[in-house]
Amino acid sequence: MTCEEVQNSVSAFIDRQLPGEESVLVSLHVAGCRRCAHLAERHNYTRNIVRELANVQPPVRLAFKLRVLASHERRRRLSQISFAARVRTWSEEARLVINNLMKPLALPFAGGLLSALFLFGVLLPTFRFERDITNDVPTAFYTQASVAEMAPFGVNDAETIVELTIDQRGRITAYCVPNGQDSPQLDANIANMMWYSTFTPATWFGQPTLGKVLVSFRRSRIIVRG
Amino acid sequence: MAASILHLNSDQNRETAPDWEDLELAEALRQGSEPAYEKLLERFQQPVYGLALRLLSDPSDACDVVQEVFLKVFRNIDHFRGQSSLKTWIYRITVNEAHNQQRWFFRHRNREIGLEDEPDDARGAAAAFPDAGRSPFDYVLDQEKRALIEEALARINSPFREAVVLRDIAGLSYEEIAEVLQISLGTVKSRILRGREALREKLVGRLEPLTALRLMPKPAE
Repeated sequence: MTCEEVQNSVSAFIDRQLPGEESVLVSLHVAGCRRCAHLAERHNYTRNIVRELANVQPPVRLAFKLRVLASHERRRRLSQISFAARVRTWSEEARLVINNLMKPLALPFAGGLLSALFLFGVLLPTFRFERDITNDVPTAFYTQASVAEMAPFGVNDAETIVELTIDQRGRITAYCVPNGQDSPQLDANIANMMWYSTFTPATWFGQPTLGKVLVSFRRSRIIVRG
Repeated sequence: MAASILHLNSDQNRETAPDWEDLELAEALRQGSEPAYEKLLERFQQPVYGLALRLLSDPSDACDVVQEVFLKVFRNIDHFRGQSSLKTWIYRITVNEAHNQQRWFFRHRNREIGLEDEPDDARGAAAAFPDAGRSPFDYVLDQEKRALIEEALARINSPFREAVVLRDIAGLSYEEIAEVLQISLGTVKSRILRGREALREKLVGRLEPLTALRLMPKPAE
């Protein structure tokens, strides 16, 4: 084997990557050739100093990222194994999203609710609910018309009953005498009475409406029936 | 001389065929087994990072490549048929990703300036404790020596660097290197030879074979 052939194979020789027969030939040549032996020694030195670079540790941050990556990929792979696993993964992801959304709100919400209840309980006795019931509007189905203020004079007949029709504003719109004792003098008296009397209109669900009032005149008193 | 050189070599020829452990690990990864993911990271995290770092000569780029490599391994483990060993399969992905990263770098990032002063090479609290076995001088000497070798390694041509790194740092056999780089065995031999020659030329005058540093006692004046 020539020096040139050995020089082409010296790296493989020191790496023990030559076939057995070729390795023996190179070994014999190197043992007898000072120049090739020196070359082999230099290659061996170069190989050894490069090997010193092999011992390098990955950064801690990279190791952490790789673990996170592995976890995600494993979860992704598991979710693809079957439809049930995929549904389970979706439900877990949805639960996680809801938890992540709700957890930041849970404490403020509970605190706010408890604070509101506490303040309401403390302040409730100090509240006063006053209602003026003197001028309350009746809300029954129907209230009859009535006399608010009667004229200070009556009629001269012994006993007379007059039926008055009262509009929404409390004014008399019509009247009639059921007993049939109508006379000009009675009409004049009734006109005076209507002129100086005021009435409260009938109401239907609180709203003024037409109504009738029976007014009975006697010599000594007046009886009003709604 | 030859005998002494042979004694320094402890490597044996390795077969590129996958062993049962690789096949079991790949199957466990397909099944989503958590210990399998742990084992894969434990087994390949450091060598893949070392390989990427020596191919790219940049720690941050190496970190990006390692993440891409493991992402591809996790997602494409179904495509691993066991025709090669898991190691050569992963190393081939690493070399391809390093090529992609280099191409991307030359296209986009050759004018960028990093914000970080130093690469993140923190080892945790244990790294802060002093090494009782080595002096600061030894430590600095090693650091400078490593820096020289790294610089020389980064300056040789990429095909030669790949072959040397796969052989001397990743510890692959020539057959495995041929499989990873998709080249013939003769080309592997040639590239390793020329890579080591180029590396030695870069280190001539800067890093010679070590001679022992002797401190000679001198009488006080």
